[in-house]
Amino acid sequence: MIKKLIALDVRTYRAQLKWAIPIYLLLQISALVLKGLNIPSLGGFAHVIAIIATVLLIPIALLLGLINYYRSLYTNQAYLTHTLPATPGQHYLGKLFSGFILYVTATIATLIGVIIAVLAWGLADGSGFQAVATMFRLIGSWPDLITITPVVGWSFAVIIWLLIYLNSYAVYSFCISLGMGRRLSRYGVGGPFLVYLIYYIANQVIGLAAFVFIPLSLRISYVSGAIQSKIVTVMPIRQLWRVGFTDQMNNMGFEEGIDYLGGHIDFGLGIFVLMIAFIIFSYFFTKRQLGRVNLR
Amino acid sequence: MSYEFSHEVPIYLQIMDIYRSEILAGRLIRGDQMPPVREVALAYGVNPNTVQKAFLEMDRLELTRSERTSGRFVVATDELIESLRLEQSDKKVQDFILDMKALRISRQETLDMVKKGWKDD
Amino acid sequence: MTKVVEVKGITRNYGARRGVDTISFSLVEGEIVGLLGPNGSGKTTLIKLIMGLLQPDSGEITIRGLAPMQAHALISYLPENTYLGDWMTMEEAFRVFEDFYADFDQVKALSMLDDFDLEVRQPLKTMSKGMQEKAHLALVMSRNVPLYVLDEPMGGIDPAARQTILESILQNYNPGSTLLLSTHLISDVEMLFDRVIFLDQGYVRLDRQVEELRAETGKSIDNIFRELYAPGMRRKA
Repeated sequence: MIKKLIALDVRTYRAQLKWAIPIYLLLQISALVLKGLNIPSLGGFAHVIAIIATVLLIPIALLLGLINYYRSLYTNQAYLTHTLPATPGQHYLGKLFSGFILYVTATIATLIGVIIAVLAWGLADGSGFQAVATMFRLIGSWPDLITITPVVGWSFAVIIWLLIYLNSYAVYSFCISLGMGRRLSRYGVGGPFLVYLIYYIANQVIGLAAFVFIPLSLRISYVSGAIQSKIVTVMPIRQLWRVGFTDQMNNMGFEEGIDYLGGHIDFGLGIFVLMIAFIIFSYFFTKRQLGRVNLR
Repeated sequence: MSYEFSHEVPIYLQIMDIYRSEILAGRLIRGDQMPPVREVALAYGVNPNTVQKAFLEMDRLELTRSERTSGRFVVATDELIESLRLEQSDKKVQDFILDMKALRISRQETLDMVKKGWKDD
Repeated sequence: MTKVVEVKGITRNYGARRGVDTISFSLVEGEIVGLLGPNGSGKTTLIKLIMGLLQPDSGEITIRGLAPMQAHALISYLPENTYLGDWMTMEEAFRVFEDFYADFDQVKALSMLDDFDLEVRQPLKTMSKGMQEKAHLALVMSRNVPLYVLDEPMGGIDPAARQTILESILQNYNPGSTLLLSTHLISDVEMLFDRVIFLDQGYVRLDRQVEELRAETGKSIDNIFRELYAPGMRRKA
């Protein structure tokens, strides 16, 4: 059943994006050609437009997921969706996975866009594919910069990438489903916005509380000329009062600064714990909301 | 098929009337198969349950009988048809007489008019 | 007779506005039931409750013993508004029905589209409102289910085409199935009903077999409806 739900969403996306994909490709190709051939002003312009398009891809994919979630579950289309022989959990997961497919597609397109942008640059200043190779080398070496193994580093990057999607899905599915529920549905689209506003404020407050109360930190330390990092179960707040003396720190070098802070800085990871907790909460809560819709 | 039912009278009675008339007129005779309920319902644009009710009523009057496997057949005996015809013609005559009386036409005048109006074809 | 739908004391209000109030009835197998009443009498609210698209304040509805949300495989539902994405063609809509409903009969659907003079490849957004409604009806009537729920199936359809719609409903619904049809256009469809339920401001005004009503009153259902809802006859809220 979930497979069929995903397939339906994917077909919907495909119909909606029928024109977007050729337009995006056209933008990238024109940027590559115009910038690569050093066409004055037009080349720069095309390059900037292509970069903006690339940067916007992932946000647009997330927004499209949100719109599809709303349209398919709370507009006239909901009369079809909610009378299909599927359970609320299947609807929830179906939308989660179909949105994820879109997110993956957007990520791939973004990477291609980045490569094209760098290549266009390279062609323009004569370094050609060398520029792309340099970029790959730089990107590939980031775990070394903070002395973690590539496996850990890249796993961390993938987890962040996954969390961005999961969290945004958890947030919009929660806000829309609660905002379109029994009590708030009379305000129309205002309901979800109201819920989001409250969520946002609550999230800020709890985020701060997490920083104060959750003992989980990423510790960056500077030992004998090398930056090292590890995850420790220490509250980041212990350092906070010292970080407060920024005036003094401004006059110090990085090494001195770290020494001044006792040899390390702790970045709070409590926010991630909260994020995961919210994702889990949203799954159960939203699923329950989907099981008792009120279409008016 | 177009047939205007009166919405003021139970539809099943009107359907019964249609088929009883067919039998009395000899257009449907003993041994003939009745059309299937669904077909009749579609033809007249009425609910199949209504047709079913009309046909069951005809079964009850022994005009038709439903055989479990082969369908419904006209089984009305000549005696039954005869008595229904008499019953129906008697009713028509009574109605006719009432109409004539309402128009203040006398018995003799009526008989003369019927004799004059009756044409053998 | 087996009960297909059981509505027990269902109430649902919208804030201060009344939707439906302590309504109870059941529908049995093979019945064609007209749900009648003027606009705002609670027809659509009741139907949404039966479909699980609205939650009741109190009371309970079961479809063959199941809660509405669990019974969707047993019901073919035509809502008041069209519900297919406007990017879809009928071909795509067929695919959706084929995917989700094991009881969907595509041959039937195609022949209904043919009766309605509709093209399979035509996108829905290029169809008129009446055409879209016919297209939806073709889909809904092509399922083989114990219960059909049609909310105003002739709402946007011109009088000339209503007869075709009626015929196709009669022709395609599964005999032995139950059919609940809401409408305010009574004279067009009254030949179809076994039974009528009249709603008025959220209450059941009358729930009777139509042939009994005709025999007792010597009036058409349409006339009974007009008299019942004539000014001054209405139950005070």
